[in-house]
Amino acid sequence: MEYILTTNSLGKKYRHFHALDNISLHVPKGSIYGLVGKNGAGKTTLIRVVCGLQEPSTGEYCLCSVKNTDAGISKARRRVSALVETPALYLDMNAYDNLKQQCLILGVPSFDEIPQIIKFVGLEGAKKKTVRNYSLGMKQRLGIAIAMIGNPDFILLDEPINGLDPQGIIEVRELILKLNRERQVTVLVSSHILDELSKIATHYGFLNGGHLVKETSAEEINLACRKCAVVTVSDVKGLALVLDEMKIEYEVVSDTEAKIYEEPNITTLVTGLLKHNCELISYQQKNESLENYFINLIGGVQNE
Amino acid sequence: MSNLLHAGLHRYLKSKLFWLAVAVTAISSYLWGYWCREAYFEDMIYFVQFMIFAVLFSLEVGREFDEGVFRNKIVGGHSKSRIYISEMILAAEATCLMFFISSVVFAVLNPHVISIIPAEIIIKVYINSLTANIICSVMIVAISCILQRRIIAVTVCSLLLCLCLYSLSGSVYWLTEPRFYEVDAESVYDNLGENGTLSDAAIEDLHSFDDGTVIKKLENGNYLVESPLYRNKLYTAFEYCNGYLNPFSNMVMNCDMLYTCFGDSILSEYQQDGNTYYETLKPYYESDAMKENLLNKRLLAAPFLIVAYSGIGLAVYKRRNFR
Repeated sequence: MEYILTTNSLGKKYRHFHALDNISLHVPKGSIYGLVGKNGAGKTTLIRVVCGLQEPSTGEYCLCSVKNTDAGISKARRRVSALVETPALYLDMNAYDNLKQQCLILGVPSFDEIPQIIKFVGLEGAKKKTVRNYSLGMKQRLGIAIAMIGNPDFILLDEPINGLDPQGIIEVRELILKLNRERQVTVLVSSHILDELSKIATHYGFLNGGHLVKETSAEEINLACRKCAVVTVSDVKGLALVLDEMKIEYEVVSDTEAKIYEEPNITTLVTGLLKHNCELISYQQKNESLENYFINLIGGVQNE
Repeated sequence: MSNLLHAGLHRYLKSKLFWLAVAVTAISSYLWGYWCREAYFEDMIYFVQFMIFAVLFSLEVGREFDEGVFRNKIVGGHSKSRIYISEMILAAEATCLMFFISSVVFAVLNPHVISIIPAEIIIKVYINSLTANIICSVMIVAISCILQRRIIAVTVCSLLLCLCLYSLSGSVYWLTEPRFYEVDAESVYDNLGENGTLSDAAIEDLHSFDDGTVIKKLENGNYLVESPLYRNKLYTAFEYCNGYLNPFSNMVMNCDMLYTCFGDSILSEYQQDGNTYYETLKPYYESDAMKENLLNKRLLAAPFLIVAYSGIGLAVYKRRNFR
């Protein structure tokens, strides 16, 4: 698998506080990578370090196949853009001038792309308004528009849906998906609103207290968070025989417990269990969300 | 770097604050020029101009950090040093523009001043003023980059400029220790004899300085001024450094030079033995080599000061973490 960003034992220390500790992250090219963590977990610090806003204390990272210590890192950064914390905008300029300013900073020779980008982020109606008069959602969209200047391969978005209303959240989500699908841009999104992240991310990295707790793909998470019923019986072998007969997918958890991934006919199940002298003790529907998964993961780490 | 300069130029041209500063510069220069023509040679204009720089540059540079726009530059692959140097260059360009406006307005309103003063001196005075303006801008940009907050930056820069001005107020002129008496307008008018020497009565009069300053007549015809203040080495060192490091001192020097050459508009109409004030003064300011030497020294020192201030600023700024 080709990676657009890899970090190797990356650390950032502020005096005695380790904001990042031994982070080894892998962001596959073409993915939407969700960086998950509580407030203060180190998400923003990681993004700031990767963007060059701060120097790492230990370790290294590789951005677009260029190490941060190599001379070519400045060139590599031109293929990357970011929206860190709040959108960085000139408040007394309009959307067009803000985008023109970014074109000049990056040395983009033509401004022809600007109207298309304004249309792409849905700000045509407000292009003459000064940014000072924009809503938070509009500012966020303009921030993403600025990040799109120069056709970057990789965009880092730090909490892009923070403070947005439901409509704004949907708009930003659609925008990220559009960027990824239509422009093949790799996106790293940090958030603690996991429900939203679960709708777009293809890969995840879980951060806690400056440590990378787990790195996984959306498929693995979906598998772990699958809707199921936890059935407790007197003898799990009897239950397995009945479920095999019913051709239902299941997973044995213990001698008395199993997870069933399909909705069974309860009468058939109970009748089958009686046939095998197996007693049904409890039947509980379980729908584990990403949030639960994260809480369990963090809880597990904290308990260790 | 050229990308950053293009972007910075676009930013300045779009900034209402910049155009307001240009307008204030033009108006204040007009008022200054008019005042010099109609009343007397007022030299406080430079303080107004420096304060305009303090407000403009600390707010312009500070907003890059306050509004977080510098992040777009860093993420775009520009180094901290390049951003800093580009801000310095942009401020110097803006300073040159404002200085040009100010100079043109003054020259248009006071063509007689320009025509009286020797061309070589007026060119040196103009260059010295421009470099002093640039030194001031460089100081402000460096402080703003280090502080990274516009409100704090504008406050600190304004206070610093007030302090710089105040620190000069105690200076005993041009800090050459011991120094020779300079032929200035008042002494010439009141005390200068026919052969260009001070009369004994004038020396007697000048002996009565409250601070214990003594003027001695030397055998070669010059006058030595000894001030008790200069016997304090720390004070002398401070005054000497302040005289060179403080951009206000360049401006005071320029104004003094212009004053020596031109004097007051009111005095300009004074007639002595059929000669105008200018004609009476001409032999003295043309032979005022010491003052001109000092001007030359300042002109030479200016580029080093610009590099030194920006270099110190860069070293501190690079050590700071971005917010």
